[in-house]
Amino acid sequence: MTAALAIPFVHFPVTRPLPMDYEESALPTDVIRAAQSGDEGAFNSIIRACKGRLLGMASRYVQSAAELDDLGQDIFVHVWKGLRSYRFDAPFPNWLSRVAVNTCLTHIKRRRRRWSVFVTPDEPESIERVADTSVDVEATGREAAERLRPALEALKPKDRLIITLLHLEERSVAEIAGLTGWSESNVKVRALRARLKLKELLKQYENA
Amino acid sequence: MKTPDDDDELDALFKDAARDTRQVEWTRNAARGLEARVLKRIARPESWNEAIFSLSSWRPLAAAAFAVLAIGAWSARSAVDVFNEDWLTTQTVEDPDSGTEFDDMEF
Repeated sequence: MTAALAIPFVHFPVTRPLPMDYEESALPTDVIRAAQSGDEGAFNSIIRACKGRLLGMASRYVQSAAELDDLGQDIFVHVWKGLRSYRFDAPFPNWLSRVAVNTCLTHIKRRRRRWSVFVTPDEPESIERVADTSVDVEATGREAAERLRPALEALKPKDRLIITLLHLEERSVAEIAGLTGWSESNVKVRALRARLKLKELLKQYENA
Repeated sequence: MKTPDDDDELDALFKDAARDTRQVEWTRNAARGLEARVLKRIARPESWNEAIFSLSSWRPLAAAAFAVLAIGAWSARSAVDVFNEDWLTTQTVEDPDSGTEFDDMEF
């Protein structure tokens, strides 16, 4: 009798749903909520959707692919840690950008402390050598980036951030204010000062 | 190489620098397998080194609170002893030979 009542054991294989591919702007709220509650699969989907844009932003603050890899990981670890604080009151990509910008700022502050002693004014000479070998657009971009690099490295981290956002990423003042949390007038004043300082540094490096 | 003295030259330099294609390549390389690396880092228990420099971690706060409590408890015990007369008497031992050499002198 008892044998007849026994429920046969049915084995349901436990399968983890594969991370889905979404457009960053079309990430479903369910996925974000699932990631907020600790679902790593959902977070995987978020990383897949956003990594291209966020790494592109971060690439302006590094000097190698390996450094970008580290910075990219840092950004997403910060996203994971801060995800619970996201309240859906702003678009998710904007919130992600803010986290990315703050992580980049921390990164350049840390690197400046570590490596500032090694930035020497004679670095642009080696850049000229690179530039002389080619005249195509790619080389022009590379040459210009390398000309700017030591001066950007020597700027204060916040000044560097603002120059990068305003002139290299070509973002508007309002957009930068939204990303950094500074007021628009503060952004304008800081941008003007940073630009003057950058010009001075470029002159100093190139005359050296 | 000309130094960007005027704003137009500097703007041109920014425009050229924005076209540096190495960043596209770095982005492509860093994006490959990033999910796995991030999830691995998230799964890893937080080290003390990371925790100390992280403001979002509970560990430095817990360590500081523990230190305050331990020092507080130790200090409180010593403070209580000061007002405990029994304890005070144990700390002061009368020396039978105490006194000055003048006590034995005869005038």
